[in-house]
Amino acid sequence: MTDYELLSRMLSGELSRAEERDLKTRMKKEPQLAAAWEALHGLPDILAAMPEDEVPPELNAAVLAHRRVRQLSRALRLVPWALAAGVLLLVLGWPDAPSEPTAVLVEGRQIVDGEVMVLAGGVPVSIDGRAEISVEPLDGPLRDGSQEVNDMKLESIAAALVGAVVTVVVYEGSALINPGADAVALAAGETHTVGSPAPPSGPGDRPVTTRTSAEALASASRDELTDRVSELEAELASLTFEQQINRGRLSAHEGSPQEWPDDLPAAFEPEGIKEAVAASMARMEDAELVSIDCDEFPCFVTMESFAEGDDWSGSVELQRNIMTSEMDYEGEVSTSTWAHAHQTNDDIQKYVTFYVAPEDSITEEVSSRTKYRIESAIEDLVAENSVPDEADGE
Amino acid sequence: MAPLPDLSADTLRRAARGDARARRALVDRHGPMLYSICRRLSPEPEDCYQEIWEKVFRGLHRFDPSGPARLSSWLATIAHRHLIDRHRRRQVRGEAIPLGELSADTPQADTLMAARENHQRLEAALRRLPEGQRRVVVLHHINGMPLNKIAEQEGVAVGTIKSRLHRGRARLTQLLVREKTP
Repeated sequence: MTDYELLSRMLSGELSRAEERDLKTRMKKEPQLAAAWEALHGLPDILAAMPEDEVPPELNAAVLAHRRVRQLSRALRLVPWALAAGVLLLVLGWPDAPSEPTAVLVEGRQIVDGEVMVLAGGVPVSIDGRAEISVEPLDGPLRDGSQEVNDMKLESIAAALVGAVVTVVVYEGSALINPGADAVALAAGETHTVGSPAPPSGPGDRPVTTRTSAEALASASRDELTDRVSELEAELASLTFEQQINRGRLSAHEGSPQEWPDDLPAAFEPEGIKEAVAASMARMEDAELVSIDCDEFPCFVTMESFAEGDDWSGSVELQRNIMTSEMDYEGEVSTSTWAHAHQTNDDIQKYVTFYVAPEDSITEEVSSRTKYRIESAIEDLVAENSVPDEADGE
Repeated sequence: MAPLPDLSADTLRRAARGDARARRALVDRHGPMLYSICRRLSPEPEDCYQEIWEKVFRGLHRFDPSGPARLSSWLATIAHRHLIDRHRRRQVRGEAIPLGELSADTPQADTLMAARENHQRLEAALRRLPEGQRRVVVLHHINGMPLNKIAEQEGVAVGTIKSRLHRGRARLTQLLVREKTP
């Protein structure tokens, strides 16, 4: 525990008399400690007096009119992640359900949390809780993962909604498939599969092929999906950390090795990253450096965290932020962090992986490829450190 | 400035039924508190603010004005739950954290009022806390939420929340003292 934390505990009256006496004795000899106590002591009052913000009038107007602002920009921020997962996911306005954030899932599998309306393969699904939605297009993959989504027109997306088998598995709460006259209500633990309705005719850059029997395909998929659901339920029961829930399901797009940009600032070259990490490691109390992988652009850093509690990745993220702010670079920085927890027999390995790079150097392709590299590295690490259980003879 | 009066039970009932004027009164009265929470604790404050109000309007009929809970506490609890939900989703996905605000070390102009300067420095320091610690510090010290209530919402032991609070306050103090040191 740091001196600052001891001071904070003293402020809350959580130290024993002896501990408090020792700390006060030290404060008389250490001006820095006394200054810290002075700052900390006044902190609650200053925090309590923090003024409230004025709400932008247009925001209140939107709230009262039940319309959402800034939806599309958020959608575009999700795209790199969605592409990396092999999933095309866009957040769009939905005229019939203005009160709920709406996502469009064209293909792939997605865990949904909270109160969300999803247009899954053309089928509207309203989720209130936690559910998994999968969409399997009848005509095979729709598009290459590296395609620029930003350039796709909405008409093209609509045209891409050509027949699909949609499965909804409710883990918590409830779901309503196809709200309206033919609605199917699902409770926790229930699964439902539907073939999607025929697509609307309209403009699009994808030729519409003859559809095979939707029912037959739906039936075949139902068996596969039932098996898959059983696997997932077993997996869910054994997982301790939520981070693991999606990990196995979001298969990363492998992509192709990335070249180092010609104009990359020195701070982001392998030597620059290694120096910055070395400096921040000196401040790191509850994590150890595992590796810095600079085989391709960008370098990514893997640390093993020994912190307890559910915020175990927090201190690494904090150091990463400080490290980035100290780098010799004035421009915008793009960074992303992954937290991985893996439980072995009686041990939990916790890894935090991140990269930092100039913002304009992280294209969707780079983002996708980096995610694949990181997932692979973590899988290797976990496999390397998994000690077979001798009692089981494995 | 004197605190604004609480809204009447009748206003809340009308707001729950969708009365536009009553909802306007509710948004005017409590919007600044919710927006402040979103700005301090969410990477997407505008979305956060709108989503919380959507939840409030949907659940307002469940709030009992004659019950023991104050409306502001009930609203803060909804905001807290919403933030936890969003935080968990971002953790799973791998969050891209905007770093534009990290350059908040710029010294404040001497002419600023001391209190305002304190607030600005604190806001900058708050932004540098890990999300879990920041949530506890903001909700407890700024919004007055008891630690056991925060623990209940987060689904963790009170000891964990206290630990986050101490680490958060320690980090804030460290940043503030460092800023003062020439």
